[in-house]
Amino acid sequence: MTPYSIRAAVIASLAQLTGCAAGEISDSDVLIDNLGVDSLIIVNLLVAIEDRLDIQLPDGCEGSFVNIRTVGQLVHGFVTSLGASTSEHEPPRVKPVAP
Amino acid sequence: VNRAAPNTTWRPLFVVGTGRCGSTLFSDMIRMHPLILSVSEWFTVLGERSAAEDAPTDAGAFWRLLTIPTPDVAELVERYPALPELKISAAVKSGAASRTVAPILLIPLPHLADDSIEALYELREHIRRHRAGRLAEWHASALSFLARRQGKTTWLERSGGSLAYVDSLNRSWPNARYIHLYRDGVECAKSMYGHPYFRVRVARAIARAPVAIQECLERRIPVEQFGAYWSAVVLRGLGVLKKIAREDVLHVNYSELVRDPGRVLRRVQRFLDGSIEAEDWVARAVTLVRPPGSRVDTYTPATTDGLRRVCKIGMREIARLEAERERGTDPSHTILA
Repeated sequence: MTPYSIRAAVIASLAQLTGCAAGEISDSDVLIDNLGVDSLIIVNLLVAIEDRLDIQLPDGCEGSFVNIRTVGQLVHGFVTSLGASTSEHEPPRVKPVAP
Repeated sequence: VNRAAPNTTWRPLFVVGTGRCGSTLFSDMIRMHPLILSVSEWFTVLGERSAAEDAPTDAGAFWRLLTIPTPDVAELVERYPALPELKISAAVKSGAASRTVAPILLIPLPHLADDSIEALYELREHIRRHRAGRLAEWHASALSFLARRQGKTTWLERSGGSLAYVDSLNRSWPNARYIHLYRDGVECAKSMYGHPYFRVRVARAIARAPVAIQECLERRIPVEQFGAYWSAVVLRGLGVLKKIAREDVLHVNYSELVRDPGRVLRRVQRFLDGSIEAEDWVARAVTLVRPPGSRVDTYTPATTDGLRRVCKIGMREIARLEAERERGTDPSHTILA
């Protein structure tokens, strides 16, 4: 499991739970202000991430997700909780080149 | 019982929980205490969070808060006049349509006094004479007045589901103490599913909007979402309680309370006021525990499994609390030992 796969799972789950398009969710989005993510959605997100990645989050990490502010911090929280290797780099994001 | 002088150092004390967690039984037990007034559903009938959040308030506004039902309360009372939580006296019922009854005559005052209307009039006089500028002062003054009226020295308030707005309680009464009552999340969620008050709460939490009550009651909400709501309340509520001084929060497990009430109530007694000996109270209060009745579980194993999955998020947080107690880092547990 890499930070990249965790990020993809978080974004896909957020999109499903909030009704926002995955492509429109960015790391700088504020969870409550931009996406309407409250503690009820966080609980559903934790369950969805476990399902999607077929993992069990470590005991005791749940409470730390409630006061997270942005999508980027949320992704970082999952990466840290799951102890994903940070040495694996995300695939380069290639900007589409205008024809 | 060593009767103490009126307790001038009493700090506000709230029993908080997720709702459907056994706090009514606990409240009834405290009601038998010789010195402590046990107030039920004060904030529930007055508007929950909005009534618990401090704000500049004069006597007239406070009186209106106590006596004019919110639209939500009026509608729920009209739709469900037979809800077991409602304690409207016959005299009140005969004199007014249910939706116009003063909120504190619905549950809190009838629990405290047989003459609830008289108590309301006396409270009005107290409010007229009293000077306060903020809502939190008014609440505390009214509850202290009712305690004295009933021959008690102190008070404790318990509203079902108040863990959801314990942050408001904490802002309004920064010196408050808390008894947190908790119970298995699956059991709570199943019970919430069948209760109109929690159906409204959960529907609104999902919609993230003040949906009309009728619409809330008509929505088909999977029971798993009641489990998710329960977990969310636990996560947020415990997040607040963790920031409060450890000696000011007592965590009580409902299943321990019914399994070994004497032991748990002695622990509660020490937390309430260690200087008061009330062994008689413990002896009488334990008699309120009844053996569990046989109940048919109508949920399929798959549904219960789904509930367990969402409730485990909150249950893990509770397991951490219990682990702290086992390690002896919970001060209330240390006192007991």
